[in-house]
Amino acid sequence: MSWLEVENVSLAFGGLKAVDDLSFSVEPGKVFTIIGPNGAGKSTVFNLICRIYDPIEGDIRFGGESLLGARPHEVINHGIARTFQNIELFEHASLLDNLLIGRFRHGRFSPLSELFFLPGQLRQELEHRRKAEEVIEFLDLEGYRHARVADLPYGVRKKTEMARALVASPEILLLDEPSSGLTTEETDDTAFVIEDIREDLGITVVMIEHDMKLVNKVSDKVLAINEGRFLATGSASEVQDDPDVQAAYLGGEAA
Amino acid sequence: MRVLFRKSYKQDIRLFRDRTQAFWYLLFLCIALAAPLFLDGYFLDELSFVYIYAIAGLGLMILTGFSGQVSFGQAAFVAIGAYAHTILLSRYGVPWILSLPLAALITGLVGLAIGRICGRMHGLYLAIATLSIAIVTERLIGGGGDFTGGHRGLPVPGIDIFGIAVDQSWKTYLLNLALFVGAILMTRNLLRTRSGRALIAIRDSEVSARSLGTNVAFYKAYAFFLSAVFAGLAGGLLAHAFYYITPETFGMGESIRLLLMIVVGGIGTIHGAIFGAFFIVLLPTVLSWVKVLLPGAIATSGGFDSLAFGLILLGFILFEPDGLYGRWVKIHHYFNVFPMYKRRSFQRQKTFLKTERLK
Repeated sequence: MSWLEVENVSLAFGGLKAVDDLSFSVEPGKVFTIIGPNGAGKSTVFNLICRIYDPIEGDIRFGGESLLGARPHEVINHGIARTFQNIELFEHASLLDNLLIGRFRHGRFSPLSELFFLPGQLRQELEHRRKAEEVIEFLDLEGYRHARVADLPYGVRKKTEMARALVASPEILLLDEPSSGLTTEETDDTAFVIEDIREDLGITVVMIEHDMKLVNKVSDKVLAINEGRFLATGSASEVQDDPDVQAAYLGGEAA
Repeated sequence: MRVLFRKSYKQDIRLFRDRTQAFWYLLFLCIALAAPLFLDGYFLDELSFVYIYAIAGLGLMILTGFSGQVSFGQAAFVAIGAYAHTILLSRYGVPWILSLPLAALITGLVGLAIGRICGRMHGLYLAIATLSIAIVTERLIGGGGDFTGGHRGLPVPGIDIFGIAVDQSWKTYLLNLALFVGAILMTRNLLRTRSGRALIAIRDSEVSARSLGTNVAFYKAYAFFLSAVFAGLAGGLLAHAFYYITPETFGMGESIRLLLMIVVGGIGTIHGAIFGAFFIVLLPTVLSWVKVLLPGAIATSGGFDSLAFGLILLGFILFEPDGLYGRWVKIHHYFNVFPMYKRRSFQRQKTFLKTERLK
């Protein structure tokens, strides 16, 4: 089984230590949530896992294999897909095309076959489409299939991004604030979706989230960080009762 | 309004959406094929120019319209293609049927090398880099001495395919048409497969394209390669259309004309490149008709054509940024939903603010 292990990782931007000697590990088939105040370095942790930043110390392993040798576009081949905090969709393409781009890793670069649309291409395209349709059905996006992403409402765009990551059929899914900007109903919906991703698709979820209701509902394990440093880990209620975590959010003397 | 009822995934993959669409495009193709029967040599040559420019435009559309890399240097690739083809033909005696693809391939490799370097740049810097390539290429060809014929230029040998001389207007017309249709099909195939989608992904968001497995530098260089291959092909054909090539034929002005062509046609669409080619080739003819109606002092002054071109471009950017094709889509929609047309159907919603973007 695959494990995501982050071991003694540090990252500095000039004099600012964005991540400081942080370690945690994610167990397969679980929902792992990272919480922390603004600027705690949560998204930076995702960007480290996705190789956008190079850690100055430490190691990140997935399934026993170090990710540090991989280039950013190779991370997905290890089975790690992600979403972004500020939605990074392909705005001028249709929802369906966005999902088909999600299938990118399940293909090979074959310029001649593509330019002349040899028979194999049609077979592949149909296969990609079937997979995309599965995810469309899973996330109830049927009505928007052919709409241009730029024209879609925010909640649907958020879902589309999740769909695009799922279409890549990852083993582990990194969700960067899946509920930010959503209405209460949409947030409740997101909780069910995350549970389904874990239960039905068997995909491990690592998410960054601020909405504690959502965190309590879906998380198997929570990690709290502040200023790039480890604060506490455990179940959602344990972490919330931790005096260090309360101090980080509410201020006051750290215990 | 007609709603497309899909019954198979193949409907979204096939070249034509439905029978009606297939009918219209095939009708156009038949008319184009039959054109030599009812048009005289002058119009056939003009249409040949349209097809050649459209091939170069499709190349630029792949680069600028789909992969999002602005290029002011497309004419440099056209020049390299034209010179490579002419030199292969006249100096090395390579048969025409090999020389043209070889010239396109050479141009493509030059494009690949340039793309490898320029792929790191964005926006304005990329524009400056490609502009300098256009200038350097013109100078290099001009200073190439006997090999390139220098500024005196080179005569272009006639077309000879397996002993058949393609020497009349209708023959070159059909040849250009065939390659033009081939270029459209290739671009279309690119767009409905994996690499084409990767280019569009890179255009819209590099960071998420990368997170989904796209090697951004590689696909940017690939876009340059394809774009240069198309330009090289157009260059080879253009050389024959001009009979005699000089470095000035493919100067900086030509690069800008090509870029304007895809903007006026409608950026990011295959139709745009074709509409733009019609526009750019037929505009001088239309302008010469207009000039007859104008007072002599204005009509004969030097910069009239450039002024008209600039004004038209300005008009497009201000009033129809989607270009001729965008206008066509709107007219089509107008009749489709008549009398319920609303201008707002085409108004884009506010795009959501993007902050903390990663490059």
